[in-house]
Parts: sequence; C-alpha cells; structure tokens
Amino acid sequence: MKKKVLTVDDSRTIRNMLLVTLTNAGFETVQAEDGIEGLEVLEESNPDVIVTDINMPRLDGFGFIEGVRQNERFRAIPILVLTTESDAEKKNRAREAGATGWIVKPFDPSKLIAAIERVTA
Amino acid sequence: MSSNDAAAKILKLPEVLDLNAASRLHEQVLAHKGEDIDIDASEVTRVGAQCVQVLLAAAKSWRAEEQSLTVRQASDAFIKTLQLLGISDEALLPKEILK
Amino acid sequence: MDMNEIKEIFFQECEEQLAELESGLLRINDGDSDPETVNAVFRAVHSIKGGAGAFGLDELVAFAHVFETTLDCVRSNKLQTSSDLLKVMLKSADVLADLTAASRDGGSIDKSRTSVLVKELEAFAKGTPLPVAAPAAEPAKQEAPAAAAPEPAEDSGFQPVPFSFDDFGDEDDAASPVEAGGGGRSVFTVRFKPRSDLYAKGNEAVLLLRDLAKVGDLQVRCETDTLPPIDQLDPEGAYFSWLIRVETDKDEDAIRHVFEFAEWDCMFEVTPGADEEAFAAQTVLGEDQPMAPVPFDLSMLDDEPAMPVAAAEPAVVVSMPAPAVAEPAANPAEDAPLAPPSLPRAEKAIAAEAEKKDATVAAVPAAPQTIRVDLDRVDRLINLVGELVINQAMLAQSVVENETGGSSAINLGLEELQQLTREIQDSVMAIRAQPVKPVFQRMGRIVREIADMTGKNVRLVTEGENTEVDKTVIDKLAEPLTHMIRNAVDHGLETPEKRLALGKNAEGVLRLTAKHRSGRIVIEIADDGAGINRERVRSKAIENGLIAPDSNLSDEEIDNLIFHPGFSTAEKLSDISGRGVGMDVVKRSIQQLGGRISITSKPGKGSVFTMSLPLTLAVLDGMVVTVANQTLVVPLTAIVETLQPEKKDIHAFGPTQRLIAIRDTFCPLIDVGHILNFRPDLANPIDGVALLVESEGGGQRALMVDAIQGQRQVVIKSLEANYTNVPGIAAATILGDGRVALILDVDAVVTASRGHALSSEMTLSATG
Repeated sequence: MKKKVLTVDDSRTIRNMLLVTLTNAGFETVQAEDGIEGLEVLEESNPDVIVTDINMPRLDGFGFIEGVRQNERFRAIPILVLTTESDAEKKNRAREAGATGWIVKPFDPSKLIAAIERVTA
Repeated sequence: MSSNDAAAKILKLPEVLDLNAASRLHEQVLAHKGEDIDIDASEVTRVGAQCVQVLLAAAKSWRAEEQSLTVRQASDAFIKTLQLLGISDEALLPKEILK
Repeated sequence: MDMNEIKEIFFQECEEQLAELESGLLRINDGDSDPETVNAVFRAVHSIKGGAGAFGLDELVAFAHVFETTLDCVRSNKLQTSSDLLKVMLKSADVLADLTAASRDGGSIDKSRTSVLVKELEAFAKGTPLPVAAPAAEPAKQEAPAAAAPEPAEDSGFQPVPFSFDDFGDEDDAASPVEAGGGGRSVFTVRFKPRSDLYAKGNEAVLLLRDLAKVGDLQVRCETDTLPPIDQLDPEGAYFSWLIRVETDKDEDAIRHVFEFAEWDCMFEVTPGADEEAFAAQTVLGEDQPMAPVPFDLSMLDDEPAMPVAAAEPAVVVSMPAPAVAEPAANPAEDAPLAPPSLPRAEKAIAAEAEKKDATVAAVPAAPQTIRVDLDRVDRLINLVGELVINQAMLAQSVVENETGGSSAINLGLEELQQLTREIQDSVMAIRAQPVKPVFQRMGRIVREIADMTGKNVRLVTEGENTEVDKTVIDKLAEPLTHMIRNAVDHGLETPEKRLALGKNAEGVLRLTAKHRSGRIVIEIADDGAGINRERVRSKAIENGLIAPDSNLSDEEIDNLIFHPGFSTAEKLSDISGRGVGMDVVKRSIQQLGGRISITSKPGKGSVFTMSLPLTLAVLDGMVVTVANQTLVVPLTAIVETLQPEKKDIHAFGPTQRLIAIRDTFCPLIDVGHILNFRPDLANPIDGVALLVESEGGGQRALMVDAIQGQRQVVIKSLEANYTNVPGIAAATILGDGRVALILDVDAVVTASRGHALSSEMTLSATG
C-alpha cells in the first residue's frame, strides 16, 4: 500500500519539488499551503506522515504541529519539519511543538525520502 | 481463582497498535483483570513499544496473580517487532519461537 | 513536471515575493507596526532563499541570507526600524530583484553595490549600523563581494544543496552488512532509554531499532524491570530501555545518525567496544524505583529470528543468559543522564496552546481560491469567443436579410443569444484582467533610483492599485509610466533646498492613481512640484521652430507642446530623462494602446498627467465608415468629432495639401482613400465626411471618408498573424454581414500624410 504524505508549505516552488520527489519515490501526496489548510487537509486525508514548513502565513509550522499533536485522531502521525532554518533555536521550538524530525532545506531528494522512511513504519 | 483454558476470554488486537491505541488497549486489558485471557494478535500489522509495554505489564501482572494470559495467534509483524525489541516473554511469543 | 518547469514556477513566485517584500517594506516605512507585516517581509526573502538554494543559485542565496538575517533581527525586536534601515532594506530589495533577474536571464549585476549593501545589512544585524553613505561614495572595497562568495551563508551553517531529481540513491539499503565477519567490522554498545516525549512526538523505539538493524547486526536486550503492575501503568509512559550490541562495518556516526531525531527525548549513548559486563548485569539502565515483581524472568532467546536483522548473520545473535536475581544498577553513573518523563508538562503546554490557537484559527479569513492557467489557453478562449461574437452577428444579419416572416421566436432567441454572447465575452475578458499593482510597485523602485540620482526627496503614493485592466495593457504600461515618473521627478519636483525655500515640505510627493471611468482605465501621475515652466516651454518651442515667435497660445496649448515630437525641455542631457526619449514617445506608445494622454499644470503647485486607456485590446469601439467602396473601422478613441465639410471651409494648400477650417483653426485634411491607394485622385471633400482626429504631437487632423455607417464594438483580428502587416492598417475585423473590415491605424495615416510643412501646420493650427 502506498504511503500517504501530507506536505504543508507556502512556497509553490517547494510544493512542486516535494510533489515530484515524493511521487517519483512512490508516495501518495496531498498538499496544503499553510497551517490552517494543513489541519483541514489532515482531516480528510489521514496521512501516514507529514512534512511541514515553518514560516507560513495564517498559521505557521509551530502552530500547525501543535494542532496535529492535540488532535485525538492524528496526534501519533510523525511530522518532519522542512525548513531552511538549521539553527538550534528553530529546531528546538519545532521539537517542543511536537515535531518528530527535520529536514534542512534545500533538501536533497534522497535525504527527504530517507527521513520519511525513518519515521514511518 | 484458577485457570480454565476453556473459559478464557478472547481479546482481539486491532491492526495498528500505535501511540493512539495504547490507552484503549490498557483499558481493555484492565477490564479482564482476574480472568484468563487469550490474546489474538493475528491481525496486527504494526505495534509500537508502548503497546508492547502494556502487554508485557499485563503478562507480568497476570502471572503474579496466577491467571493465564497467552497470545494464541500472532501475526508475523507482531512476532518480529517483539523480537526486534528484545522481548521474549513466553506469554507473548509462541513457544516454538522461544523454544 | 520537470526541473525547468519548477524553476519557472520558482521565478514566478520570486516576482510575487519581491512585490510582497517591497510593499511590506513600504508599509513599514509608512509607520505600519503590525508584526505580521515584518513576518510577511521576512517570509518573502526566506522563501526566495529556500527556492534559490534548491536550484544552486548561490549568489542569490548568499545575498538573501544576509538580508534575511537582518530581517530576523527586526522580527525578533532585536533591531528597531529606522528610516536609515528601511532605506538600506529597500535598496536590498532592489538588489534581490536584480539578482533574481540575473539568475533567470543570465547577465551580471553590480557587485560593488551588492557588497556595500551586504556590509550595511550586516552592520545593522550586529547592532552597529554604518553611517549610511551615498550609494556611490564607497566604491566597492571588494573584500568579499557577497554575491561572489557565499561566505556569510556558511557562517550559520546554511549550505545550499543543488537539487536534482537524479539524486535518488539507495544509500539506506546499502546499510546491511555484506561481508560477515569481514575486515573492518567493529562492535559498539548502545544504551537507549526513551522518555515518553519521544513517543508523544511521533518517534518510535521499534523504528529506531529497525533502522539500527540496517547499520549492523544487533543483539538487543530490553530492560523491562521498571515496568509497573498493569493497573499502575501509564499506557503512554516510557518504561523500556535497551542495551544493544552493534556489530558493523560502519562508524559511530552511522549509529548516531539513526538516533538523530530521537536524541532530544531519550538517554542515548554509544561506546566503542562490547560491554559484556553490562550485558551480563541484570539491570542495565535501571531506575531508582522499586522493582516490579518478576515471577519468571525473561529468557532472551532469539534462535529463530524472523527479522532481517539477524537473518543476515544468525550466528552472531547469541542467547544471553539472564540472571534471575535482580541486582542494583551495575553502573550507577549511567543513570545520571536519565531525565524523568515530562509528559505532564508537555500536555499542559499543549492544552494552553489549544485555546490560544482556536482563537487564531477563527480570526483568519480564508484566502480566495485561485488557479493558475496558461495565458495561451485564455487567449485561445478569447479568440473563440471573438469568433462567436462574429458568428452571432452574422446569424442576426442573415435572419434580417432573409426576413423569415419576422418570427418572434427566432428574434427572441437571437436577442438572447446576443445577450449571452456579450456576457461570455465580458467574462472571458475579465479573466485576462489583472490589477495594475505589479506595475505600480515597480514604479517605487524607479522613484527611489531617480531620487537618489537627482538628490531629491520623493515619496510615492499609490492609489487604486487593485484597479484591473487587460494583461496586455498592463504589460505595455510600464514603459510609458516609467518615462513619465522619471520626468516628473527629474523635471517636475524641485530640490529639497528649493522646496524649503518655497515653504514646501522638503519631501516631494508623487501620486500615482488608477481608476475606472466610463469603460476605460484612467491613470494619473500628479506631482506637487513647480509645474510646467511655460515661459521656457514656449521659448524652446520657438527655438525649435515648433511655433511662430508671435503665436498666441493658451496655457493648455503650451503645456501640451511637451508632447510634440522632438521637444525636450531638459537643458542638459541627464542620465534620467535624457535617453533620447521625450514625452512624444510616451504619447505615441499610449496612443498605440488606444489611449490618450493630457497634462494640466499649475505653476508652483505641480502637474498632473492623465492617461486613459481601453480596458482591453481584444475588442474596440469603432466607427464603421466607407472609403472608396471599402469598409473601414476607425477607433472611436481617436475621433474628436465628426463634421460635414462645406465648400467655404476647404482651402487648398500647395499642390496636394488641403486644409479645412474648423471654427477658428485650420486643420490639414487627409483623404484616407488616397493615402491608402484606394483611389488615385483626391476626392471632393464636400461629398464626404470629415473625422477630426487627435494625432501624435497634439495636433489635430481631419480624416476624410466617404460616409459613416455607424458605431459598433468590433473584435480585433491581427492582420500580421493572419496575413501580413499592411501600412496604415492596424488590424482587421469581421462584420456582421461576414465582410472583413480593416481597422485604420490613425497615427500611421497621419504620419504618411505628413512629410513636410509640419511646423507651418502647427503654426496655423495654433494661430488660426
């Protein structure tokens, strides 16, 4: 069965890269443009793993992650933070919000896939 | 209180025993406290360490109270995960694997 | 979708982000202190950096990184905004735009400018702003032009990794040991005790062990003694801990890498070598809590492993005898790093966030849904609708001609069809309509640059940027607008000193406005400068022979002389408006769009340029006329008035020229049929109709045609696309009766009629 990935990123460029990378790697992909849409798409798509950006309008990655973690149905889903922030503070905040892991942008396709494989069964 | 295999209640485990399933599993197990139970793990495709904790704690407690708690049918995924975690409790794994 | 398409998307997105960046900075400059504005500005730069990194655009990444760092200081309130800072940031936004353009189109950028800005930005970020130097004053010390050296990027560990879909490797799968017992294999001991947070954040001990098994062969020993009785157990607690012996041909980093995500929420240790003692001990990672009752102990037997882990080399997995008696921790020091589970704290924090966020979610309005469509598709649709309009007109015509008994049902149906067609046409046109905002935003930069060059203080105020107009019109708007803005700053506004001396604010205001007015878009450029210097314009016009020295011109006529070809008030050719481009070129390009331009000016108070443009270039309101049995369409926008010439009004002027007297002025009369070679001889004006048109240079001409058929909206069909460029003809259309009608290019006809006596014409029309 194909694993389903929800990606949340406000950049059309990154969304397309994720889509191509994930599709090529055999994942089913659903996408959202910010945290609010992410929470909406989550409800209807029930993904196996989530990849999210941090800096987004309306609801940023931190808020989105917290939203997932407090959702009774979806709180167990692994969440990878995809962001250019490689500094400890951002990672820290993402972790505190409940992120499972992170991928430093710009991402290398094989590393992205490897990270997803690591956090999914 | 004595063991009686014929009267053992059957607890069927769901396919996915992840973080979300741990509390429910805990409640289900507790609900059978004082009874012999056979656990059916044949449908399990994914089991996390926390659910294993619940099952192992139950196995220990049942044993302490001299009740029977036995995994009767186990899927490959269930067996493999327990082995990976280094769990070899005879109540949870089929005898032929434990030898 | 391939990389090139994604790159195209990236550059499109850059443009949006750059616009967002600039408008955000401008809002902050105007006193907007909403943190979300700073956030949006930060996100814009951040997003450009992110995408640029993926494409290996190092120069862009390096500059965006420096810019972003400074913006982050503003965002986190470490740095206060000031007008100096905003000046630097606005310039940085311009440079970012240049770098983006250079990345897309090739070409180079001014590296010295970039390096100066990098230094200024870094100084702000460090809290030691440099005195803002005049842009050119510090000509590139060239230590490290940011664009050339991505050095600042490396400082913070940001490393661009060029992105390629060919990158897929199977590194992970290569992890299983190939040569069992081969040389270079080493043994590590891993101790791992998760906290409940590890599970709460979606990590899983099972998966970590699975991945560890890919690194090498494992002997896994699970410490289960801390497990409480079932009724005291927290189902989401973390009780298990592991002692693992790893035999691998990889290094310690490979093992650490597996726990990269987990190490925050667990005790984790890797030590080289096998710790047989620890393995032998009962409590490897025991906690200082009472032992759970253990009636029978675990027997760690793994002889028939089902996991691929051990399957690779079953011999290594040995059975570990587990002593039945519990002992205290073999190595108490190992307990130190263990932290108590912190689930309650985390839950509290999450619950607190929950309420906060519910409010946020409700407050944010949903963004309107949009899709991106290829322009080609829209144009194809527009074309088809054009055909539909023509077809509908033809159908209506043939019904009239056949007089099918005047069936009211048919007529009613036709009327409805016409109504529907019109609505479809309007809707389709609306798809191409876009706000003028991007063009207006570009003007901000133009203003800043000219203000810099001329030493003037200018504030650009824009209004009605959401006014929509056809994309083609927008595309063609930028150039004339740029010239006019340059002109207004260069010639219109005074220097700050002069303004202060005049009792004006040192900062001049340039107001750019767009609005819809009677089916057209009207764009105004108003400055509060000196206004037109009519004396100078007049003397210049006389000097250039445009008007007679004794001509008596109204103020308006003098003002409009600046649109005359060859007229330029710039006394010295400056960088800015002296590019050989005068207002006549501006006027011509606006007229080519079917637009008009005019100026009103008040001495000492400023000038207002007003241009009005059609909302679309796909349809045109035209006057259908007959010339030498041909049907022509004259754009209605060009026509000032129509008149019936009388014999007394016509005056011969030289062998081929004729003038017509209109009230108290004379105007050249152009025989359209003759100019277009429809007929060899000049027609008698009395038999025709004269259309008074506005031509370039502000002069008027009377175009003589045979008869007027009426006015109607026509769909423009390019002749160049379908046939070839025909002099004097702008395009073609198809009329309701199926005939092709040519659309007259008024300017071209006027130009063809000219050739001589230009100045005398002007004189005549001016002195009348």
